Amino acid sequence: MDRRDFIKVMAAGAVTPGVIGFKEKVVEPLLPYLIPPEDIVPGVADWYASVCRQCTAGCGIQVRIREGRAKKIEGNPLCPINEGRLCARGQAGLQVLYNPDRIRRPLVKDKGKFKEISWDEGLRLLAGKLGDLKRKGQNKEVFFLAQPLRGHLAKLINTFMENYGSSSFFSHELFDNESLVIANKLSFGYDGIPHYDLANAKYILSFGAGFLDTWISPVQYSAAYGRFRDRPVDRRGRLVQFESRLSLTGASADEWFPIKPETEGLLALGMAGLIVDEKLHDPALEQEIPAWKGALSGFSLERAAAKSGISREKIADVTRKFAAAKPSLALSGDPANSQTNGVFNAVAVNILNHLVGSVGKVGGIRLNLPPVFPDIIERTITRDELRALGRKMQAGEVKALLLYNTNPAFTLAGDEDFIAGLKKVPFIVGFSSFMDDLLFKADLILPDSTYLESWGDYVPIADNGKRSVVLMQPVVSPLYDTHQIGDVMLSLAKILGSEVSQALPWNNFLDYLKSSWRDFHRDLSGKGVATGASFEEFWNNLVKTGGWSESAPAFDENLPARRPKPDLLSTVPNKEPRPLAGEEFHLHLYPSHGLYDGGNANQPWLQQLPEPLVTGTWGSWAEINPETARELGVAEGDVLKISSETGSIEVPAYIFPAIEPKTIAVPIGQGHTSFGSYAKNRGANPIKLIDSPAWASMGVEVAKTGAKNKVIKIEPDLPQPGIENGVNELDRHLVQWINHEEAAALEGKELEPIKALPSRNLKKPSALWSLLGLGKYRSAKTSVRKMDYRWGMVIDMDKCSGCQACMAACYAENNLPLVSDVEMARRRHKNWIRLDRYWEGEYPEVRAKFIPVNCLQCGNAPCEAVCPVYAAYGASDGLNGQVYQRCIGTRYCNVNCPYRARLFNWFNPEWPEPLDQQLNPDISVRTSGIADKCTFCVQRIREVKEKASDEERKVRDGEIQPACAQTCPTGAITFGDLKDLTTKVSQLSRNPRRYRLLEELNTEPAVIYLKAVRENVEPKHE
Amino acid sequence: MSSRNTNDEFEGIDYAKVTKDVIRSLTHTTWKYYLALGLSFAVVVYGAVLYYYQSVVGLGIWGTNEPIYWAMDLTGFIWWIGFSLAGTLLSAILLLTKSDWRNPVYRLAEMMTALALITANIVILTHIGRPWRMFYIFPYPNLRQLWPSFRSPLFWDVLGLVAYLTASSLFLYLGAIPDFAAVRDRVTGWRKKLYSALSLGWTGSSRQWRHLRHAYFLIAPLIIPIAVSMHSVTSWISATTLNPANHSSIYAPYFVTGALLSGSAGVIIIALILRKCLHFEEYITPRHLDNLAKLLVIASLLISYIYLIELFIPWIKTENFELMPVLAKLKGSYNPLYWSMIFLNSVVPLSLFFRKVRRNIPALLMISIGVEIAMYFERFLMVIPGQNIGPLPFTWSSYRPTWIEFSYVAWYYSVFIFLFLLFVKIVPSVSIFEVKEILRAPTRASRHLKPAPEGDGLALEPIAEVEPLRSESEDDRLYKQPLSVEADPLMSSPKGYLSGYRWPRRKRRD
Repeated sequence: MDRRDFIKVMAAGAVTPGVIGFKEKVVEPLLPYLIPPEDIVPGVADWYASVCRQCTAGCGIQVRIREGRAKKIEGNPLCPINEGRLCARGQAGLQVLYNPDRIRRPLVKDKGKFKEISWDEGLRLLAGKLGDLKRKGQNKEVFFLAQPLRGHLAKLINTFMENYGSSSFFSHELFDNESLVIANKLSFGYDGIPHYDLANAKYILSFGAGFLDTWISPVQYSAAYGRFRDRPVDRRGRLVQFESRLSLTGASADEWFPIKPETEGLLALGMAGLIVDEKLHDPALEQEIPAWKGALSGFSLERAAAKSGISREKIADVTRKFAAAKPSLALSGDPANSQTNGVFNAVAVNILNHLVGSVGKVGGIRLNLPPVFPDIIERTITRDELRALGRKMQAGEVKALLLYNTNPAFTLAGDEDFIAGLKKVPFIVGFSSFMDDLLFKADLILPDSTYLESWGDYVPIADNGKRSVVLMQPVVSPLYDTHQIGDVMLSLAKILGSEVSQALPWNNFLDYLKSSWRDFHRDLSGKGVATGASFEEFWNNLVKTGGWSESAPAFDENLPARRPKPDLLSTVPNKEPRPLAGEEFHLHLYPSHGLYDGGNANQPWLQQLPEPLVTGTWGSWAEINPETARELGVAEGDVLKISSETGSIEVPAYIFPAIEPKTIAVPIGQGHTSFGSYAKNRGANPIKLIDSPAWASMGVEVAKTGAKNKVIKIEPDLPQPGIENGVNELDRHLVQWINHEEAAALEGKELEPIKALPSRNLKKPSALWSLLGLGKYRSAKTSVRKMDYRWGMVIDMDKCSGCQACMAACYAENNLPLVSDVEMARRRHKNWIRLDRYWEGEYPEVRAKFIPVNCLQCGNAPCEAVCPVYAAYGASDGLNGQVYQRCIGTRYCNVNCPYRARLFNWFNPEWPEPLDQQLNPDISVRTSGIADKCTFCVQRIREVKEKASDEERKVRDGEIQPACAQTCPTGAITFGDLKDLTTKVSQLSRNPRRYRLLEELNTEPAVIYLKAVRENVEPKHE
Repeated sequence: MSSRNTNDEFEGIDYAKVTKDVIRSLTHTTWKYYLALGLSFAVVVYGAVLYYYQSVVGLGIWGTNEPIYWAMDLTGFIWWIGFSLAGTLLSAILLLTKSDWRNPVYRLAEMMTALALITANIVILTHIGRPWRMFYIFPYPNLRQLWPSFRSPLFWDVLGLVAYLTASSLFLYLGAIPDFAAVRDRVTGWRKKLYSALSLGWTGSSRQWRHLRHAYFLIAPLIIPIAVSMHSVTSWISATTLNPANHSSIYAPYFVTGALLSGSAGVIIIALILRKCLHFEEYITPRHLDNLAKLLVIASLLISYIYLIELFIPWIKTENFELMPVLAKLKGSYNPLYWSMIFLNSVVPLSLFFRKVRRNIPALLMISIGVEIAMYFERFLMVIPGQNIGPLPFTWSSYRPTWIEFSYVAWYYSVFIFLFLLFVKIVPSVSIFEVKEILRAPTRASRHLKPAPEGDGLALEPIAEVEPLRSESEDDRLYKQPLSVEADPLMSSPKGYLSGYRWPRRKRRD
């Protein structure tokens, strides 16, 4: 027994005799190696560049490695896609690597149960099976389905399959943007996703495009959105969103219009008709206009207004503004594209872009050049092919199915043919890292290493004109007995022999990758592009910087040939939306904010990350309009049975103020039957309700079951006096928005520097104090003059989209404990920075306003004064410190924080192995009974300050980046020294749009918000 | 109310009977007592096990959440602190105002105070996240040269608690020394040893009486500011927060008034229970209860006034920060609690304006219990709405106690009851010597009852030798004038040893 234990026992023994061994130590200090490799200094972090594979966007990342373990993922600032930013899902990549539910070694199904085998056995088993099939001439009946692979891995598997004799290698993903790609091919002859130049657009008309949330390449678009907002008032962009259910992007819009589902195309064409009628079109198109007039004759504004439920005047108003603002951009997002009529909708929006002359212009749609590696992009399986595959499986014509990180049992759950067909496939092989809904039915599993343990490269799905290939490198050695699929395929080729091994003679995937890149290097050198003298030099540079990209954007300038023709519309089938039967609702499925298509559901950070508008976590719910709910007698938490022809789900209702009355929205992502402990049997899978990935066009029946099931959410339970109909601000001016006129009036002005210094130190010593000769003690250590820094933060609400990347970054950086569903249901979230959401107005003039709140590091902090033991104290650089070791857990600071930024550790945190390997060694783990809060990432501040003091200089502006500010996709968060008036944060803090949260309480916060500028905001009279 | 008038009340009671009755309450125990003791001990053990579990696992077992960090723990703490107020404070005030109706009831009130404060300490232990580090809160010399924060009301609350506990225990103990001596002289066995130690060698000499008086009258005026400040400091824990409902200057009087109400109801409840169980009907008479009930109704009127103020201030303020918690109380989820609190605290006690109700023991008991329940609601409404209806509506939350909280509440009560049951068998719950003060002094005619030798007048002989009590004789009626005891000037005072106390003057040297 040491001294501490003794004291514990003595203190506790006073009340409970015989109390021993309180559990304070949660994480034992473990060093991964006793003698580190020569090039690694223990205690010094290394950063390795790689690529994020949490979605298809392909953002460059850099991973922080301490003593051989991955601690934090950040965006790679050299990557042109994301410019150093990363979204919440990207941040959570560490929980793919360190997921407790990873498949740790090869498994084979033996009498219905999985049995561990060696890699050698596994490979021989698979090779034997494939060899058998080939001998029987059934090699064409082997199918390979994979996640979207846009790199050399795709080429490798393709080569393998072709030489094996099967051309059935496809990628499958729920959100594959198929309609958009087809529409672009029809409209522009361009096969893929063009560059949407959001940053330079002045007017964005978005038909449900959730580009700040999950659509195509959210980080890239968020960064562009930041620039789109960050311009003087006369040139700043306006965003108008049309959608049936308010999305995160819609919440950031200047104007949001709730439209009836499936009317996006009609609306776009109605607008196009008005543009042609009122001659608002691009003057260069003068000759085409009569033809367009004819083509658009069937689509009048009246029809659009009648169908969409938006008044004619409003549509006309938006259209005129859209046409007048140059450049302007129209986008068609998932709700529009994912209908059976998706191609038509996307084409209609493309026509709109064409008519205002935005195609090929800065601030419009720009068509990219063909990719640098033409043959490394896997072909996406189309909906028709999927149906055909389902029928084939049903007929027993698929002899073997190879699966790589794709989960059709979940993403095609409503496709009866496919699901039934899967059972008839005699041999299913999985190469995934997780036991997902399909994999546990597999016969053989050869687990892949995760993307953080593998070599590879990736072509981002949408680049900004700078053609890039992002390089993936293993940042840690594989945790378990897994091999990356590239190596497995090459080994398999060796065992199979014959053509396959001749076509793939490489020993491992790295060699294969390098050989291809060697050719590319030769090409570049041939063109005279400076690439480094030797290939090795070129390659090392690639690995170091995270990939290759062109230095300047370049686009396809052969525009006249690529513009949509007036006869285009007649070639696209326009299926009229099926009218709803009396009691039916439109089903609106949307990708879950954190879980996307369900592929991220096994990552607890993303499970506990609230959906920003509902604030729901760890489960499913059905969003329903308050008026409709009143009619149906539905209250929050009433379980609704939603049924369609293909199936039914039961989910609790959530009263959502911003949804079209005849629409019911359910997030996609939950309802896994098997996907590890965090995802299994949680919520419901709404994909069961739809029979194809064209999901936004279903009529469903909704009925109350009478059961109750709590929606697990961060938002307070309602009703409560004052916030009966949704949480609103109660005129407290918490999220301040101004309109453009007010913003214009403020422009060019500068306010006084903020008074965020600890106010008690600003006071002069009192006369009595001085008389006694004690004056110097009043302003001793922490006086303003002697303070070196005053750390502060500016959050520009104009740019903040509410994407919550900051929250996920904070989870990773600051060892925040995992909050289970049970704890979350008790409203014990652990978010050092959280996103508060307030509703304003009522449907249809409803708005959601976000405000991120972290510890505001008050100059006059209420928490400091009340702590009886100085665990909360004012540090000399203006931070509100919290000494965990000193805290006795009175929770007084928590109670006295008006912002509720302080949190309490109710239990000892637990990280199931190996998630604990992710813990940041620079910050302590808080045990039960301790209050904690945002520290502005004090560990980063200290690190930089120490470095600066070693170099005998002051900290440079921008040198310190807290995790939230570093990752913020829109660049809304700025951190720095408020005392130095030249810093960026100080300059921003003098912006006349500034305000501070609850400033009237005289807490002098050092977090300064800048008011958002939006259209149609009532001026506030103070 | 002079003591002369009161004497009639104790007709038929003489010094020996007092001693005998009180000592009987200490020595004679029935199975009912052991049952109660056993039951309360069982709950004490249950609570201790629960507390051990909490210490190992964490405070998360409570139903608290973000942002309701304080719940039944602080509610309980304030309630117990309030409950403790009336006892010692009342005793001290009544002593200084020479209201000798306090004499039969003050001892149990003081016991109530001391034990309620001990219970409050236990509440604090269950409230702290890391109780094994709680010593950080005390200003002790340490190598880190760290002091507690003198700006924190919590620190002052701990100091206040310690001070009040010390002062009230001392006051209780001092007042009981002559009684301990009286008991010592009448008991045998282990009790003899115990009371010998407790009585500190009390012989009843006039010198000892003088010293006792000095000490007693020194502490009594100190008790009053300590008690008031203790409750004010507890109120500042809430009032210094920025939470809208709590950030209010009325909190200190609010707490003290509430404590007075809760405390006087507590004294009534305990007096009624002890009166019944220990057969003190003759000593704690309806007149005492009547006086306590008057106190209760005054406290009730005061608290009603504060309830009005509490509504008035948010109403005249323009912003809705203050208004929302009030609305939540008036018509939100808290309204059953609020309105039953108003009913039980402000309406029902008004019936005590009627003498009939004041003298009706079951009615008095029910009203007092009602007040205690309402006070629990009141404390709950002080703690919770201010936290969960804070400045940021998005952080609002709701709170429902779980079985853990109810177990803890049961634990707090069982600790109090268990300790009280123990104490009631150790400390004479009716002050022997002070009751004797207000008895009609033995008359000349009753001299054959072997009155006390000079300077004592209390403990005379083994209990067995006390003669059976005689009913009022003709002799008694013949000789009305009290027996004068020349030896001790204080004894000559009709008001007795203590109530006739004059501050000692410096002796003039000739």
